[in-house]
This record gives sequence, structure tokens and C-alpha cells, in this order.
Amino acid sequence: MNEPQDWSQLRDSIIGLGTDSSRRTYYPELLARVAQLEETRESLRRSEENLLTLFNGLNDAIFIHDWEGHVLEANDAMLAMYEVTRETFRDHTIQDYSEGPLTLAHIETMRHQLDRDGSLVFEWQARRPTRPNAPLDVEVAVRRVCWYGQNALVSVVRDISGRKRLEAMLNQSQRLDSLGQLAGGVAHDTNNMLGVIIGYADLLLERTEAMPNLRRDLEQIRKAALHSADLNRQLLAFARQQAIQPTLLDLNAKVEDTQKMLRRLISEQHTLAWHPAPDLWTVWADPSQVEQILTNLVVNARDALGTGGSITVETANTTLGAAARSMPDAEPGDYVVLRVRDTGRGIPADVLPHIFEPFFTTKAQGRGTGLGLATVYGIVRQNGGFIQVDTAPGQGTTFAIHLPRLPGGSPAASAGPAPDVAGGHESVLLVEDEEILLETAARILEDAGYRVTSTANPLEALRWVEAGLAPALLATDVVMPGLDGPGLWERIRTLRPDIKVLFLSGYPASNLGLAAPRLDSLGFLQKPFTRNELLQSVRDALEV
Amino acid sequence: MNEAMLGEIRKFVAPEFIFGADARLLAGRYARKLGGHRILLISDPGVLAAGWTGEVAACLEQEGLTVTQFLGVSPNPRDTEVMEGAALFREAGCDLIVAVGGGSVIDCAKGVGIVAANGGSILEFEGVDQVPAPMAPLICIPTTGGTSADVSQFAIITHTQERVKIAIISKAVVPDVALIDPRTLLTMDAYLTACTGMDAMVHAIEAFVSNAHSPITDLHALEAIRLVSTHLRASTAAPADLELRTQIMLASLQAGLAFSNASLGSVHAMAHSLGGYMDLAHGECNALLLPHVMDFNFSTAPDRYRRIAEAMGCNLRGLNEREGRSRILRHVLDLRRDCGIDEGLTARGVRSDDLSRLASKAILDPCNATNPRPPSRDDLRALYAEAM
Repeated sequence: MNEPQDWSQLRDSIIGLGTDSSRRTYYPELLARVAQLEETRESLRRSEENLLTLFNGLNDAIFIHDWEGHVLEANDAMLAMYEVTRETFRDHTIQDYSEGPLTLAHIETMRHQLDRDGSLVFEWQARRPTRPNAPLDVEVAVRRVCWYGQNALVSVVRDISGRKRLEAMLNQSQRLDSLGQLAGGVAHDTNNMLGVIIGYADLLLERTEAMPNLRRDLEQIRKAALHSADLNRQLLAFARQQAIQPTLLDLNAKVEDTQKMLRRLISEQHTLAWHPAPDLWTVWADPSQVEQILTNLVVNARDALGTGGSITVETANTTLGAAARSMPDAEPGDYVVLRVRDTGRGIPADVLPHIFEPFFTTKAQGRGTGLGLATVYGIVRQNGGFIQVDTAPGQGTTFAIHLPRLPGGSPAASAGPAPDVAGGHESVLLVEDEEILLETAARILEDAGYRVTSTANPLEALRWVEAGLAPALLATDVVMPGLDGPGLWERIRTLRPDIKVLFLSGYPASNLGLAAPRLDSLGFLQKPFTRNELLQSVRDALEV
Repeated sequence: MNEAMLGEIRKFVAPEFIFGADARLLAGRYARKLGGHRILLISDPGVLAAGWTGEVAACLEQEGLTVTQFLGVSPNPRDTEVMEGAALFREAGCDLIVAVGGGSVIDCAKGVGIVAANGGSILEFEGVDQVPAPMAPLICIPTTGGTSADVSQFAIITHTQERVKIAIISKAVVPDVALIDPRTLLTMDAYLTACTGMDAMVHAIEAFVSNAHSPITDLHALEAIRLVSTHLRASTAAPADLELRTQIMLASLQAGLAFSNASLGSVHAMAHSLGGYMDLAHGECNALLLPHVMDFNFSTAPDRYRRIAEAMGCNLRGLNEREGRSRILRHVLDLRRDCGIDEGLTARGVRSDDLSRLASKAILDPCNATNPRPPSRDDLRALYAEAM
């Protein structure tokens, strides 16, 4: 083993004279570290300030809370949403802020999902401690957080009551649409049968003038069929498949016209007020449909009133901007509003979503068909408008019908009285794929003196014309297999350019797929029809 | 003073110390003032049994400080114990160390402080000025009169694998404050009193004859020699005498101030090797080796030994060098025997086979650097043989 050689150098260091043994100070290092710490603290402070601004700038309510539900921190949006203050928000637990009870099972499920997915989103009902009976639909997103060393949760709560309301409205709108399609289909098929019944009843009535007893029975059959046809028309109105004849319309004038009739509908214990708005814009609507709307709404208002109370009908101009987006049926634009307000009992919240459904009624058996508001709905939608309902139990109800404004123009003169029904001797080519209806119509026309060639097959009709048949009028169904009514007419017209046409359809004229200007010069008859209606339409079509 | 020293610049390092009965009770105040919050209290089972550890713990807790105790210190503190203490220091998040005990406890506390601040193994810091980062504040409350580790820049740790003591010498291990309370000596038995008292004597003598002695260290060394010579016999005989205990504690402090700045000599070099190998008490080793090293050194610094004799009250007047040497050696041997330390290394289990190994380790000890007569390995082996 080596002995240390340089004892003297070791000695010098032992007695403290070595370079490394002189005393040193850590003060500069300390200052530098303190400065660094200060800098870090300042940057932390700024960062926290920014985060706090973000925290409080969010629209969603944020809770920081522990697993027992004690609230540790909350943002400004939480205070606003739950109507508490920065001083009081900790007085309540998460349970207090929840409408439904938070059970242990809930919490266990949450814990499990958080462990598995890291986060958790669910819909919930929030409770405002100051307003315990007005729950709020919310969406909650939960994550784990280590809050100043404590195991906690951060719950971000979004108010989705607006979205829920829109969803419900959209749902209703879609439900009504599908109901409309169903109702329209049923009504259309029934119409054909009713046409047959009415047609044959009319024919028999012509021949039984000498048999009063038989006539009375036939009259009953005819009346029942006409009543059914009327119900069908209402269904078609709801389905927006009613044949309409819109014109430029001054709503004030129309309402004024109906005042007398409306007053008859209500009893003496109710008052009916009418407030027309000055300078009301014009609309493009069928006057008889407006009458239907008014009648239905006033009857409903009357039924809601009980004894006493008032109904107010008023008009107004209104312009909808972005607010239209909160209503599923509405679009921004100018509208003429027809408002019917009653002071009645209001519509309960559970009934409200169903009021426009066909056959939905709260009236006693036999008092209402359940088609009144469905009809109103269909008509308004058919005319490009929408309905707002404002109601609360005990607060009365206001239906606000919005019809789109038609720019410019003046109200057209109302149609004159129907001319006398007359027959004729012209030749008519009748095409209708429903054979029984074909036969009925052929009989009516032949009895009125026309020379009728009829077929259920449009292609056969076309062949006949090609083979030389030259009818004065083509009376044809619209929807048929093989070749539809308008198509048949186009083909025949190339052979016989002077031929007149009358379309017979269960669907409105606007569904024919023909341009509107041309429709004006064409004949159209909505099914089902009476003998007189058929004869009148044939006459009209021939004389165009 | 020899010529070589005239132009030499010197440094004197001492910690702040409080000396006097009940100084230990200031531990809480000092710990708080030094910025402590969580205190690692290092002691050993003997001192705990004597009651000093619990008293100091209570005193710290009274100041609102959190106390974690580490009692795993054996006589001749081991590297493994230091590492355990350092791990506990970190684990408990401590920020200040209080050592209550003898040299072993205080040296262990220094080791814990070094490792806690610098990481690594305690063995990496062997030698002079090898401790880079300062350690957590250290408060020492010595409970033996002799080691003076409470004021020194030395820490002696046993390298368990090599069975040798390593010396760590650094300003970094000088405690921040020493609370030197003679009352703590009252629980020492007669033999421990003798061993630690002789330890103080060896510190003083080696510091005085050190080739790095200085006028300031000389003052403290001579006063320590005088105090031990005057009071050790009586104190050994009357362990309950607080006055005598105070004199021995003072001697220990003075010796500590002297050797911490003038360093030691071959007695310590050999004692470190011997103590590490045989696990003997440090003071006992020193006492057994002292006369033989004095004999070896005498001719190199006869004048200084004469002044030592003077301080011991041993009259060398009129004696030549050889006679003087005999007289002073006899004086030291008498004191040792009177205090109850008798016989030699053989009686303590050392075999002649061990001597080469002991010498080989001892020659590497930095204490040799300040021995007045630079020894060789063979010199040291011969000295061990003499001490058998």
C-alpha cells in the first residue's frame, strides 16, 4: 500500500488554506432564486387571471365539487343559471342543485364510467334552490379533477331547455306531416267511393220523382255521403291537399265579411271584439280557407270560455328576423298576423303538443270532430304560413296565424255566383281508372245529353284518338297507371289541338305538376263531386 | 514558535456555541431561528435511555416543530447508518438536524447532512474539502466530554466493508450551533468519563504538537491539557459532581477548538484504523496509543512536549531530553491508569497478525499529515506493536 507522499499539501487543506475551503456565500444564488420564484409567481398569477376570465366567460355553468357533493368552486354562469350568489352557492350541495335524487347507484355508475372513459355526458334536470318547482333541462359533462390536492369532479352544465323545446316542436311538426300524408291518402281513396255513391244517388233521384218515399231514403244516402265528403275535405285541408283557389286577399275585408257569421257562432254571454290593423299588407290565400280558419278558431275560443269572457280577433303586420329560427315552421320575412284571443281557461301543458293532430279532441263525444285545429294547421302550412300559440292555464289562449305578405297588388274581386247548371250535346272522352267512378260520371254526362266515350285505360283513349276519334272535351283523371292525365292531354293535343280538357282529381290542382299560368286556362274538378258540380265543370271547360 | 511559521497566514474556524448548564434547553429556539420546520433528531439508544433525547424532542415540539427521531446509531457510526438516516431525512421532508449524543451521534448527523444535501454515498466524501453543497442547519448537543465533534470540521465514519474509519474534513461539516451543556455529562459512567476525558487530552496534545499549530490553537490546547490533568481523576471518581463535569466539558471544548484548526496527528490516524477494525471506543483507542506516539514524536518537538508537561503540572526542569520524555510518558500513563484505563491492545483482542493491516490503513489517514514527525507504515506498525 502506498504512503501519501505530499503530506504538506494535505496539511494546507486541513488547516483551511486550500482553494475549496474558503468560505463562500450563497446570497447571490438565493437572490437569483427568489427573483426566479417571483417571476414564476407573477406569470402564474397572470395565467390564473386569464383562466379565471375564461372560467367566468363561459356560458355553461361549471361546478367543482367533491364526491360527497360539496361545491368547492363555481363560475359566474353557474351563479346565473342556478340563481345563487357567490356568497351562497356553497350553502347547497349537488343534490340540492338536482331535481331528481342522486342515489348511491348513480354515483357508483358515474365512478365506473369515469374510470373507464375518463369523462361522462348525460342529460339531467337541474333544480334552482330558490325555485324548486321549475326544473331546468340540462346536459352535464363530468370529469375528474385534482382540485388543490383533493380528489374532485368538474361538472359542466349546459342549459338545453331551448333545444328541448325546439326538438319537441320539430317533433310535433314532423308528426303532423306524417299524419297529414296518411289522412290525405285515406281521404283520396274514400273520395272516389263517395263520388260513386253521390253520383248514383243523383241519378236515382232524377228517376224517382214520382216515388217520394224512395226519394227521402235516397236523399238521406246522398246527405250522408256529402257529409262524409265534407269530413274528407277537412282531412285534405289538414293534409294540405285541399284544392284551393288563392287570390290577392285583404284580410281585414275578409274578416269584416265574416263578422255576422262569427257572431252567430258565439252565444250572447260572450263578446266578440274586432280590431283591424290599418294599412294591412295583402296576402295570397284562398278566401274560403280564411273563413275556415276563422270559424274553427272562434268556435274553439267559444268552447274554451265557458260562461262569460271575450274573444278578440285582430290583425297586424309583422316582420320576422333571426327569431324565426327558433320556430321550426317559420322563415324570416314579412307576415300578416291574424290573431284570435280568448280569455278562457287556457290549454294544459300536456295537451298543447297534440292540439293540431287530427281527431285529437278534448271536447265531449259528439261535440267536436277533432279536425278543427288540424284543418287550420294544414291550411296555414299550405299557404306558407305558421301558427304561434300562446297559452297558460287560466290565462287564456291566443292563436296567431302568420300568413306571408304578398308584395304589391290589390285584393281581387270575389268570385261571382255559380251559373245555372246546363247539359250539352258535345262529345266527351272520359278517362278514369277507377271503373265504378268512370261508370258513374259517364251516366251523369250521358243523361245530360253528352255523347260520352269512356275508358279506364289512358293508352286505349290515346289509341282511339289516333284512330280518328275527335271529342270536344277530354275529361280525365290525373293519377293513372301507364300514362297520367296531363301526359295524356299533351299527347292528344298534338293530334287535336283544339280539344278542351277537364282534370278530375282527389289532389289539389297545384299537385298536377303543371305550371300555374296554364292551370288558369284549364278545367279542374276536385273529387268527390256532385252531379251538378260535374256538369258545371264540363260546361265551363267546353266554353273556355 | 518555529521560523517556518512566522510568515504563514492562518485561519480559525469555530461555530457559534453556548456553554453552560442547561444550554441544551435552547435547542427549540435555535431550531426555529435557523428556519427549521421538520426536524430530524439523531441520537442513540443509550442517550435516549438517559432521557436527554426525549427532553430535547419535547423542547423542539414546544416550539411547534415536527420531530422525526433517528436512533439507529452505534458507537463508531457506520456508513450504512448514515445512509439510513439520510433516507429518513428525505422521506420525512426534514429541513434541520439536531444531534444529541457523543461523537458517534454527531459524526453520523454530519454524514446524514452531507448525503441529504449532496446525494450519493457517504464514502464518496472522504478526504479534505470534498463536500460541494452546504448541508441543512445542524445543531449539536454533546453528551460526552471529549469528542468535540460539536465544534470540529471532522466527521469520522466507519467503512463497514473495509472495516476502517474514513475521515471527512470540511468546513461544510462545522455545525451551525453547539449547545454545550455540562449537565448532560452527569449520566456518564466512570469508564466512559475516563475514555472521553483522555480523548480530549489526546486532541489537545496532538493539536499542540501539530505542525499546523498556531498561537490561537496553542492557547486552547494548553488550557485543555491543564483542565483535564487537573480534574479528570476527580471527575472519574465523582461522576455526579457538576462542577468537575463542567471543567471536563470546558476542556473538551477547548481541545476541540484547538484540534479543529490545528488538526491532529498519528494517534488519531492509528486510532481510526484500530477503532474501525476492532469496533473499540474512540477515546479508549486514543488513550492506549497516546504514550507510544508521544515517544515516537518527542525528539522532533521536544520544546512543545516540555510545555505540555508544564501544563500537566509535570515538572521536567533539569531533565535532559531522554529523562524528560520518560517523565512525561510516565505522567500520562499514570493519569490513564488512575482513571481506570489499563492494559494494552492484546487485552482488547488485537493479535499480532492484525498489525500490518492496521498500519496499512492508518498510514492513509490524513491525520498523519500534521503529525510533527511524518511516520512510515512500518513506524506505525511498530507503534501498534508497542501498544500491544
